[in-house]
Amino acid sequence: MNTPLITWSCIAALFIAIMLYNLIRAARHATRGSRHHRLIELGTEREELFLPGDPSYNVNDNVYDLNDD
Amino acid sequence: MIDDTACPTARGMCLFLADYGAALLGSGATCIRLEKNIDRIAATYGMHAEMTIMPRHLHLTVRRDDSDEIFTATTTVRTSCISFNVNTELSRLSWEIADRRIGWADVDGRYRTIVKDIPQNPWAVLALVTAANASFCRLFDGDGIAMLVVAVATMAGYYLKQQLLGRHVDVRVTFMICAFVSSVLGATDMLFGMGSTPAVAIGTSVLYLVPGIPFLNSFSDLLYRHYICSFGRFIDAMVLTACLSIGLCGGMLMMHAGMF
Repeated sequence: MNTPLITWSCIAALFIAIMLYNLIRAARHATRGSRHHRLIELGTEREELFLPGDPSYNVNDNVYDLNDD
Repeated sequence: MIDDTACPTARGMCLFLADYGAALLGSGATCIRLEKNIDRIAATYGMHAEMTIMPRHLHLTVRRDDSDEIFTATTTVRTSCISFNVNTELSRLSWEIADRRIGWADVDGRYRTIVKDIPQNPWAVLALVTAANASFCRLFDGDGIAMLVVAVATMAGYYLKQQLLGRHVDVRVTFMICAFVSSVLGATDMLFGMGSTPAVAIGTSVLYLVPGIPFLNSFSDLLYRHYICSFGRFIDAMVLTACLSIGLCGGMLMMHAGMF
């Protein structure tokens, strides 16, 4: 039984696992804070096609209910 | 120089200096620096401070020179991470007080700002420690492969140290675990037959854990005859070194390296 290789492999795998866990946790923390910035989501039309100068509306509003006055 | 009419009482001065001294000692200052800073601040307002400095406590008595006003306080030294930045800023504060560039009314606010030290970016520290330890490997005549192995081993070990200390794991256990991890990863070139200096890689992979500052502070306290603090710091440093050695020996044993 190659003890050094097994030990090395376990330590290397553990380290990679810890790094990945912390990266994923950091990514989740970054997206959890705001309901409007999920990593993957079906966005509203307003979020997909924003042009500077568009009026700022609450994203829960129905985007087809715009009043252009 | 400002015209400072506010003058603290012996009680106010003593309580401030006790806090100040605890923060200064906790940030890695030597006893002589603490003595000089406190004496300087007290003398600015016509007071005299006598202190007993123990490894974990500070006993301080402040007396006004021309009266019977006297106050004594005992405080616990804060166990915070060593910060030369806090150390320097607190010393600078003592000079600002002595030179009358800051009034007594503003001292406490300035002190609170200093001790709320914003920690450095952990990723920057990790990168710098990795580079430093790889450079150590080169200093000991390690080749390029050894330097790369040491860099990876240091990065892994120091990252683990940050995580474990962040979760308040005992520092001695942390040192053992990190030394073990670094020494195992530092034996990579020996395990896979890469490079020509595998022994240097194993030996230098744990150098980032050596408690250099406690040893230096211990020696400084010894020179200024603060023997109790010197001995306390020396024992602290020796315990950490022993934990480092246990981790290193464990790693070398598992990797069938060197003296085993």
